[in-house]
Amino acid sequence: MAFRNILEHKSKSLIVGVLLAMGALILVLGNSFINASQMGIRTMFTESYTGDVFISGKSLDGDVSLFGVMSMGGSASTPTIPEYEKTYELIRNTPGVAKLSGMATGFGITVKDPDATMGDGPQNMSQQSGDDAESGSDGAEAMAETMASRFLFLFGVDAKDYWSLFDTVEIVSGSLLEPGQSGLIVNENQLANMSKALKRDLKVGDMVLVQGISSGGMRLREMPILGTYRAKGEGAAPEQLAFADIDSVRILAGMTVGASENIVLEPEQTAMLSIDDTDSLFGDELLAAPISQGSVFDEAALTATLADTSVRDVANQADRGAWQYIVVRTEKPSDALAVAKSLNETFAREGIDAVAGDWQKAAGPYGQSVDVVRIVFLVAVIILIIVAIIIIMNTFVISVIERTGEIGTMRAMGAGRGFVRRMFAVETGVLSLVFSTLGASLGAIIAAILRASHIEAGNPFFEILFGGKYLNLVVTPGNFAGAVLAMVVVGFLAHLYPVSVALKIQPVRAMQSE
Amino acid sequence: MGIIEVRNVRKTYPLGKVEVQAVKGVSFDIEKGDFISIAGPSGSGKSTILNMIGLIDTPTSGEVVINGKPTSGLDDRELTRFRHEVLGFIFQSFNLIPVLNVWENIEFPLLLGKTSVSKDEKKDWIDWLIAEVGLTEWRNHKSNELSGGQRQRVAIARALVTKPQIILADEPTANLDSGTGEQIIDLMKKINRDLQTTFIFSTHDAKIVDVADHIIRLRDGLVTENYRRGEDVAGTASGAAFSAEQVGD
Repeated sequence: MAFRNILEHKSKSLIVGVLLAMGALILVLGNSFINASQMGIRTMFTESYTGDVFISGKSLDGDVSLFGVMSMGGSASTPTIPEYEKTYELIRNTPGVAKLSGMATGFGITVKDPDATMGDGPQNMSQQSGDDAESGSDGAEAMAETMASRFLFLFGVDAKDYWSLFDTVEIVSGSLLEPGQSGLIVNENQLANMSKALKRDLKVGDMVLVQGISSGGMRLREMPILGTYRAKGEGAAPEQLAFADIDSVRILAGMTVGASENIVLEPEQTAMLSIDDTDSLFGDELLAAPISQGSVFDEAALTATLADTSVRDVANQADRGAWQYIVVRTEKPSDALAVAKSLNETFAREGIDAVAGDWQKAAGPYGQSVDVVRIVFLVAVIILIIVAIIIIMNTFVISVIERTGEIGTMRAMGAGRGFVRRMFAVETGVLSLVFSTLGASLGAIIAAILRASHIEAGNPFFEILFGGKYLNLVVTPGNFAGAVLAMVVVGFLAHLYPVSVALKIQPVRAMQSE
Repeated sequence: MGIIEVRNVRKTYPLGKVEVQAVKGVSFDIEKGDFISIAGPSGSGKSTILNMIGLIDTPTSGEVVINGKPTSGLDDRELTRFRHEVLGFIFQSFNLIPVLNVWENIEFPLLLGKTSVSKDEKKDWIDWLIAEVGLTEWRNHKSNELSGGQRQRVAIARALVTKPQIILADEPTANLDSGTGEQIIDLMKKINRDLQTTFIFSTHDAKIVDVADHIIRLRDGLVTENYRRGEDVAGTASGAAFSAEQVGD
């Protein structure tokens, strides 16, 4: 009877059905797009950058990701892993952990010569860029392009175990970073970009001057180019990614002995800090002290002090115990969250101020981009669903009004309210199920066509959005069933009010039908 | 005691700020097996009384007693059960369910309640009813493929399918030509005789009044005449003397 009623009221059934089918189609395509994007980004990050579990120190300024602390203004320094050796051993002995490696990250810019970077850096950099940039309105764009050509996102790795976790790059020239080696492995395209920007024909074996940019200031380090690489997979690996020995990155990122030295002041040195009235601060003792009229400047002593760089050299050495992150490959990728939870419990028990998370935490803004896209999609879907419910509800109400005599007749013949309720529920259920299945099937076909069409991302933004170089929409059974179920629920919600209208129809209306 | 007792029933409808009294205190009894006609001009209250007897409308005051059971105070569930088990309806506009064929339309009331009838028994019963109303060849046709008379025959069979004690028919011949109307009346009279089913009509049709064995005549919401055929009625001659002009508008 439900089928026949649906066919009897063809135009209304078609309006409701098309809406439900469209909803299912949008849900199937949207979810498969988001899933593809998430899967792509997840694979890209876990396989290439973050491993399955990512451990960092804790920061009060915000969450710590592979890109540093995600704080307001972005000036907070990235914390190091506390008690690294102990933490490393605890992680290594945690069930489910297969491989692990320590690392640090930093940002750098290759520069022409040391003099160009002295003084107020940004101004000099802009001057340097300005040399390459064309004048006029294209200047800013050209400068940004030149900056990007010289920019390096530095991965300071532990060469002895890092490559066993991440087998994602292949060496084009030179060699991989070996333990104990110091230098850079850069992307082959970025080397060409750098050559153009620095107006030097850079090749493996050449030295480049890298200026580190961190919250602690700017530091310079001359580094040899040990090799060039290209990414093995089709993930959206940025060309600016460069691998370097950990000590170089520590220095460029400000993780030096001097920076981490704990300076202890004597009580007499801190005594003035507790003075709270100006009389005491500028009291008689200070004023009564004899003032030397003669010059105390001893040029020889000053020269000797400046010439002695031993203390400064020590302070500028890399802090060899400083690691920002430990990346972990779990035995099974699906265990990542469980391992992270177990590690966090261990850290809490051992009093270690570190935190473990999955790739999404490590990916920082990139990980969040998936959530942002999902939220935007969800909001759009909710708006569409509300509109669809209103249209479907109105269509059903019209249908109920048209069937007033029929419903009244049924009621007069002894149909209870339950019968009327069931009749509409079955009709709506059948309509929702049939049309949402059709819509979802159409969505799956469109997804297959789009997948077969190999639509290319074309630029890094779409590579992130697509989760790879190509749009790869995959409709999973869960995705399909979810879309159908969601539309059945929409149909059910939309039929509630019309049913309440139908239930108010009195049997006496049977007598009034023509 | 009759199968139906109507005791001082009144029905008032609100019409804007005023109240219209459709039925102004009506009392009569109906015996089991009666073929009864409630006649009167438009607005006399005959349909309202029929609706109240059929439990699809409720009196403003007074009581309708069916099978000795007062019906005021019954809740919706009890009224529904009562309508399904005791009453059958034949409507002026036939009111067949358009998506169902003849056989399914007749079967429909059996699907509404808890029935202990076996599948074969049900089939035989419906087939007998279809044969009885002369629609065996039309059993698989939908209502839009039938003539008015055929539709009303389906409605009669449908009203009978639950074997109700009482069938209420609201102007059953109003939408039929006179020849078809007569056939329908003959059919209902035959069923009335064969199955001892009580038939109650609200009608303008003098032909129905002519075959009715109990006539209740209304005017302005009041009973003006109430008599059995062959009995004398106060102020009138024998009921058989009623003419078509007196029954109609």
